[in-house]
Amino acid sequence: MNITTIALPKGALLKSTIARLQAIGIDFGEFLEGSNRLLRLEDRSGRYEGLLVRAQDVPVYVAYGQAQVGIVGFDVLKEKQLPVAQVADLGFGHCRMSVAVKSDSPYRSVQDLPAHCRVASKFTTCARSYFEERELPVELIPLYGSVELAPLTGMAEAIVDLVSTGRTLKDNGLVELEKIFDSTARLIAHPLSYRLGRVGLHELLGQIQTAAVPA
Amino acid sequence: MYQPPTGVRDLLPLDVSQKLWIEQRLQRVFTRWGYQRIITPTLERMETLQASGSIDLQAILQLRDAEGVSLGLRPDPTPSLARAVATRLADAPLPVRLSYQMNVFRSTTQPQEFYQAGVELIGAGGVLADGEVLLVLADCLAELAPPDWTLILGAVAFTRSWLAQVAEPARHRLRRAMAELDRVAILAEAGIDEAVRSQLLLLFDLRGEPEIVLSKASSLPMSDAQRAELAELETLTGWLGGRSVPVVLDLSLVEAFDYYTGLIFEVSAGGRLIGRGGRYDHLLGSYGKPAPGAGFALNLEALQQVLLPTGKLPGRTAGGGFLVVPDGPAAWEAALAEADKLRRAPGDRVEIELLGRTGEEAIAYGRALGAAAVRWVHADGSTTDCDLAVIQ
Repeated sequence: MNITTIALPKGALLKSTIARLQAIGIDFGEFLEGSNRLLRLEDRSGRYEGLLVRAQDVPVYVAYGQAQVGIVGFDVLKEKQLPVAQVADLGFGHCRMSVAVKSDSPYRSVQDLPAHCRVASKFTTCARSYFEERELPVELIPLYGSVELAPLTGMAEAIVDLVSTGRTLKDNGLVELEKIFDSTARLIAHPLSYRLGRVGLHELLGQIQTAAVPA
Repeated sequence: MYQPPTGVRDLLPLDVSQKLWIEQRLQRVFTRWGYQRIITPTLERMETLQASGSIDLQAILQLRDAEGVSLGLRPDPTPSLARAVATRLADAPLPVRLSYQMNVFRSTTQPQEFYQAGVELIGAGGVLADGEVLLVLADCLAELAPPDWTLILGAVAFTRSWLAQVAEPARHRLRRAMAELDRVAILAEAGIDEAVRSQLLLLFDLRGEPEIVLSKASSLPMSDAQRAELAELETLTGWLGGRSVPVVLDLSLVEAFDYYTGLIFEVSAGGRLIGRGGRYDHLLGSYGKPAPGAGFALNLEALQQVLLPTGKLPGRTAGGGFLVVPDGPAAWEAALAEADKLRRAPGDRVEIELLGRTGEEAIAYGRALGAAAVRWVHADGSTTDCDLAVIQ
C-alpha cells in the first residue's frame, strides 16, 4: 500500500539516475541489463517501485500522480510545461539547448537569421518561446530525431537541439550560434503528494539530493 | 456517427444517478448551514467575467449574441455570484450565504465542461467566517467520506508579505516559483538578499502538522501584522483539530495571480485534487459593492472518480420494482390500472411492457431492466407474479 513510485528516464540520464538511487539503497540496476524487457520493477525492500519510461513521459507520469517522484532533464520540463514540483537540481547530465546552423552558412548570430526562416526541432515549445522572445517570426518544423539532417538537406536554415559535447554537431558540419539555456537532471515530485508529504516522501527526496555517488 | 465535441461528454443514466447521489448529499449540508441555492446564467457578458481579474480570458469559450455583444460561457461560478450579489441582492442583510451546483466551461487546449458544487459567504470577514467556510467544507467531506481526504491550508497574505521584501521583477518570478513548487528557481534567483532567500526557502519547506508548522514559522522575524495572521491560523487549525478534520498546513500555498487575499485551501482525496477555495476580499469591490467574501468549489467529476472505488455510489444493479406485462391487448386497461396501484406504494418504480413481449422474453427483459419481479396482468384483472430474484 505505502509504496512510492519513481519514474526513471530512458536514455542518457538513466545510468546516473540508477547510480544515484543505488547510493541510497534503492536498486533498479536490472533496468540497465541488456536483456531487460521490464518496464516496472519493485526494489528489494518492497517500498519503492521504478517505472522505466521515455524521458519526455517522466513529467507526465509525475504530473498525473502515477509516480510521486521522477528524475528528468530540465530540457524536458521546459518543453513539456507540466505541473510538477521541481525539488532539486541533481547536477548530473549537463547539456545545453542551442540554436545551430550549417557551418558554411552566412549566419553568425541568431539576429542574422531571416524572418520566417525554417527551424527544425524536437523541442518545439522551447524553440517557439525562444524565437517569440526574440520577436523573430520563424516557421517551426517538428521532428522526432536526427534533427541535424534538416539543415544539411536544406529543409531548415537552423535547428534547436540539445548539445552535450558538440561532437554530433561538428561531425555533421553544423555550428552552434547561441545557447538558449543550460540543462541538468532535476528531481521532480507530484505536487499534491509533495504538499501532503505522506509515507516518508520528503525523507526520500532529501536522501536522493544528498546521496554520495561513487565517481 | 456523430460524436460530441472533444472535452465534453454525455452523462448516461448511471453517471447521472451517481452525480445526483453526490449532489443531494452536498445540498443537504449546504442547506443545514443556511446556504441558499442560487442558479445564475450559463452565459455572462465578457465584461462581467473580466471584472473579476482572476480569470484567464484565453480560457473562456466566447460567442456573440445577435447584436454582436461578446459573451462568455462561465469558466467559474464566482464572478456570476459576485455580480448577482452586488446588483440583485444589494439590499439583502449581510452576510449572504449562497450555494450552487453548476456546470462551468474552460477552453484550454480543448473546450471542457465540468460540474462544480460549492458555497460563497459574502459580507463576513475574519477568522470566524473563515472557520465557517472550512467547517461547511469539512461537513461535506465527512458526509461523502472520499478516501484519505485532507484539507491543505495556506495563508496567502502571510506568504505574500514575505515576497514583498523583494523588488519586481524578481518578486513575480519568486511568487511563480512558490506557486508552482519550483524550489530550484528560488535557489537560482540571482541578486536577492541571502537572508530573504533562506526565509523564502523556510516558507517553501513549511508544511505538515499545523502545530509543528506554526511553531517553526514563529522563529521567523515577524511584523505585528504577520504575527496576528499566524495567531488567526492557530485559532482556525485549532477548531479544525478539535473536530478531527485532517489538515496539512502549507505556508507555500499561493497562486500566481492576485485573487485570494487571506485564507487559501485545496482539498485532496484519493491522491487527487477535488476542490479549492479561499478568501477573496477584493472581488466584490470589482462589481461595485465592496464586501469581504470567501468560498469553495468542489469538482464533481473528480469526486465521482475518487468515490467510485469505495462502492458507495449507486451501481449498475440499482433497480428493483416491477415490470407489468399485459397478457394481450385485452389486458391493457387492467395493466394500466395495476401499474397505477403499484406506483402508489412508496419507493418502487413500475414499468409497463409496451412491445408485446410475453413469457421468457418478458422475463429476460425484466432482468435486463433490473426489476425485482414481473407481474403478469390478465384481461379479467387477475395477476400472477414471477419473482426474478428467486428464479435466478
